[in-house]
This record gives sequence, structure tokens and C-alpha cells, in this order.
Amino acid sequence: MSKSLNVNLNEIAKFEKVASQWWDLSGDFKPLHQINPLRRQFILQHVSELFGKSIIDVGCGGGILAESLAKLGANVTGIDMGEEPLNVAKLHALESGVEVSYQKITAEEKAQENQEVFDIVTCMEMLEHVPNPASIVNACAQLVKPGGYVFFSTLNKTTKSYLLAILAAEKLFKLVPDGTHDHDKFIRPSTLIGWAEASQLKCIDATGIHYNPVTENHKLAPGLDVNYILCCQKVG
Amino acid sequence: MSESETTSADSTTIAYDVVIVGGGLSGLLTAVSLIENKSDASSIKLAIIEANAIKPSQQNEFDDRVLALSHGSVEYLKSLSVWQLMAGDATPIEQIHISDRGNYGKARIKAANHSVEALGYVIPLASIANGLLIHLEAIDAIDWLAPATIEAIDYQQEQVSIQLVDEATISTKLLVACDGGQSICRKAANISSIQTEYQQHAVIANVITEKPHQNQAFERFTEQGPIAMLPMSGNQCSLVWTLEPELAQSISKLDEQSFCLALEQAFGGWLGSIKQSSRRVVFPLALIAAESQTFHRMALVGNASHTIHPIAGQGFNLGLRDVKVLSRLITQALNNQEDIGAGQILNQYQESRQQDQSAIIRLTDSMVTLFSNDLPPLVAGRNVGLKVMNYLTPLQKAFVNKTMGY
Repeated sequence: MSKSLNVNLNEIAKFEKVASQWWDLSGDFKPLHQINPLRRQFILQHVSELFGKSIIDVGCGGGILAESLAKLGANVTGIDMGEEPLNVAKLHALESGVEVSYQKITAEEKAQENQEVFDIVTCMEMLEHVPNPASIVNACAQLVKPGGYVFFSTLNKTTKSYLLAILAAEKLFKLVPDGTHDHDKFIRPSTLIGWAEASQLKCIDATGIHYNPVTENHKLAPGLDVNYILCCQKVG
Repeated sequence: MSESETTSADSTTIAYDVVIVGGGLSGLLTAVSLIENKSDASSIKLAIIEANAIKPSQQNEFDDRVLALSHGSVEYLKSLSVWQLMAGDATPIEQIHISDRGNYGKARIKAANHSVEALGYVIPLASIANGLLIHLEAIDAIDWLAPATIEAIDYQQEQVSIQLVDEATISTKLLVACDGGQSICRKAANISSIQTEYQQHAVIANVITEKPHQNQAFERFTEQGPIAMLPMSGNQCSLVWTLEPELAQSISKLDEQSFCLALEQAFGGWLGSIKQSSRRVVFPLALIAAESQTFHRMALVGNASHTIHPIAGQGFNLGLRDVKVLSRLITQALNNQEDIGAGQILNQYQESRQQDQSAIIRLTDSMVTLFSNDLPPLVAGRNVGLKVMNYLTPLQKAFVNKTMGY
């Protein structure tokens, strides 16, 4: 069964192990908590009103982004292939009284049953963890309604991204667990935009998410050489 | 809510452009701002929902709290034509006197040197409220729903519908939540708030001193914590004495004479002996900040969005700037005939307020740490801290250039 799924079991195992950490604001996922408001801000720059919008978060993990979007009044579905992160996400949603529907399913399978049903698709910090990211991009494009928006964020394949995301974040400052990222799986913006365009998505904006591991400063700014976020709109 | 319910409710629903929840200072100020800022050509249908009965031009109940208004806040009240309704009760701060117990350092900051008539004003909270109420009563442009209790809030795509206990349901394009630290609106929108406790309590009292204050405010640093004395009418000062919780409790429980003596010893002889003191009230220092200042068709203003510990009304100056920004955005949207509850406008409000708030909250955070620590390097650093302190007492904040430019 796992043969046909676009899932890296080692990657899933990595995140299963640290699942309890998801909502610890000073734990392994601290950087994610810190940059999450930036992701939300970028989304709001393009879709000013999320109330009543249907959103699917692909690779939702413990639900940090999904919950924050649901809190703005969106109807959010979060999907992931990690059992433990999903359990954590469900528990946390109960705790915070936020309605998010979580489901263990691949993006490709979800897209088969749900063609063009979502106003917005988000896929953040996920593509660098799967064997076939192009297939995820294509699934996202199928999930979104014509005219709807898809947001991707991932890590660029540059020397600087190696130095910051792996050497600094994992080895030196131990912000995230060792082995969180594999530099070979990082994706150049041109490659990602290429996949998007092959799937009828038009890239309309791109910006860098800048995170300084020492000062913990974070901001959206030009410069896509490490962590970047794209906004795409479905043609039609 | 189903379609049919919406339709049936429509027959009795009064539709507003803006509904303000809470008739305290932030709510009243929002109402005055919206009316004063709008152009003559545009109209705005406005209501205030308040849990208590409101009797304009009448002191509701005895409330001896005072606020220190920054220079910028006073300028804003002047621009709304309400300052003259309260100025009579305000004591100008012409000079700030800063000293450190155990160190010879002393600093004076004078209004005259900053080309302003006052660095700030100390004013009873009730005087501001009354001034705003008198103004609102005179222009008679809002619906008062008071006393009224909210039963339910329903956020819908095009409006927010508010069901009042035993009354009709009303709807609005934009809900402005001015309902304080325990905001019902904030809870209805499930916006969580983060509370930071500062292991410090503030003892608040009004005291009468032997020597006149001559319109000076005093900030005195001691090993136990800072003392602020704000000038009021006559020889009266409003005291804010920050101490460790246990010490604060025990000092506040002293009888009047012993309390005055303890204060005199800690404060030094700058105002002679402390003659009398009112009832002492102790507040824990805390910061409660909402994780978001907006929700769909809703803006949080003032204490509903952030409650800063009670020192010298910094919270009100911050809340006033919320009102200023929000009412400007609403007025712009009205003039452009845009939907005043649109996400775009609320996002702008959120973004433009974020910076001001995090700056103050960060500085307030570090101030408390600075004060409570008596290690030599920090004592030496207190002179640097005096500058940072501008954020703690708005009167001092008044001459930070940034704020002088409002």
C-alpha cells in the first residue's frame, strides 16, 4: 500500500517522535510558532477576509497554521500522514475550542475526492519532506477552486540555506532537532514555480521569510534565498 | 443560522454601521471620535451597548482613580473639542523629578525645555468620562442601549448580529469591542489572551503632603521598587508604589500614620512629611494581551485588547491611540463608501497597532525586571533605565521625541 503513497516513512517517524512538542512555544517547534504570524500576514495580504472561507492545510502537522486560520473564522481542514501529530492537533483544537477537521490522508487521495472545492490551499514547510513534491503541488492545484489561492512555503536550495537551516538551526543553536531537514530536498523557487505552472497555477507573489536564529527576529522581506513563501492563483 | 431565521429576524432588527460594546472611556472616546472625524456629507448610524445605566452629565459613583494623560493624548482630546470639558479638573505636570534612594543622582525634566506647557496631565478618570458624556449628550447622535446585556453574538458574512437579553436583536457592519479586560466580545470570537504576571504589586493611594508639589511629578527608585507621585489638586498626590507582593500587602495594611511614615522614609523628604493617606488599594502588576486585535467585523480597543498593569494610566494612552487609528480608518472607508467592516480595514488596524503595542509591552516587561533587581550593574544601569522609563509613566513618555510627534 505504501508503495503508491507519496510519503517518506522516515520523515513521518521523525515527526511522530517529537509530536508532544508541537504546542510547546519554547520547544522544538518554537521557530514555527514564531514565523506563523508571518505566514498568516502573507495570506491576509492576498485574501483580506478569511471568515467563511474553506481552507485545506496540506501537511498540517500539529495544527499550528490550521488553528490560527480557523481562529479567523475560516472553515479549515488539516491533512497529514503522521498519526501522532494529528492526535496532538485534534487534542489542541479541543483545548482551544477551535473547530478544525483533521484527517489522515495524502494530498493526492484527498484531491481525487475533492476536485476544486477549497477557496484556499496552504502547504507550508511540507514539500521538503516528501519524495515527490511536484505531485503534491499538482494535488493542491486540483483541490483549489478556479480563481482560488494556493500558498506554498519551503526552503531554497542555496549555500546560505544550508548554513542557516541546517548548520545554524540544527547543529549550532539546536533550534530544531538534528536531522529535521535534508538539504538535497530543498527546492529552488524556479523549480517550484515550474511545477505550479504545469498544474494551472499562476504564481502572483513571492517573498522571503527571514528568521535570525540568534536574535529570533523574523520578518517578511525580499530575498528568497533561504525560507520563502509563494502565493499562486488557480487559472480560470 | 438558516436563511429563514435571518429573514424573520430582519423585521425587528435595527441595523447599525458601528456598534460599540462598552460605555467606559474607550467606548465613549470611540463614539466621539467617529462623530467628530466624519465629514459632514457622510452619515454613520451608531449605538453603544453598556451593561450599566448611564446618566450623562452626572457623576455616577465615587471613583477616585486618576490617569496621567500624555501630551499626545491631550492634543487628541483637544482635536475632538472635548478637552475644554475636562481641563478644569486636570493638573498639569510641568516638571518631572527623578531620584534614586542610595544614589546622589537626580534629574529634572522641565516642560519649558521641551516647548510645551505641560509634559502631561493628571486627571480623575471620572472627569474624562463626564466630559465625553456631556459632549455626546449635546450632539445627540447615537443610540444608547443601556442598561443592556448581550446574550449572544453571531458573526455573519455581511454583518454581526447581537442579541440582547429581553430586547431586540441588532445588527452592525462593525463591532467595536470596548468592554474591558474581561471582554465578552473577545470571548465570543474565541480570541485567547496571554497573561504575564510580574511578581510585583502596586500600592495605590492619594496622599497629602506637607510641601506643595508645585506641579511636579516624582519618580523615586528604591531597592524595594519605584515610587511614583503624581500631582493632583492642592497638596494632594496620587501615589503608585511598586513592591514585592508580600511587602505590598503588609505595607498597605499599616494604619494610616505608620503608612505615611513608611512612605516618607522610602520617598525621601522631597515633599516634606506625608500628612494623610486615603484608603490603600493593592493591584497585582500584570499584562493581559489578546493574541489578535481583530476578528471578522470586529475590532478590540483599549483594555479589551491589552491590559497593562495599573501604573499611571499608561493603558489609557495606549487605548486612546487604538481609538485614534481605528476611527481614522473607519472614517476613510466611510468617505470612500467602502464596507467599514471589511477585512482589509481591520487588517490595517491590526498591523498599524501592533508596533506601538509590542514596543510598550516589551519595554514594560523589561522595566519590571530592571526595577526589581538590586544587583550593582543594574543599579548603575538605572540611569539608562530612566530613559526607558518613559514608557512606564506616560508623563515621561511625553517628551520622547517619538511621542511628542504623536
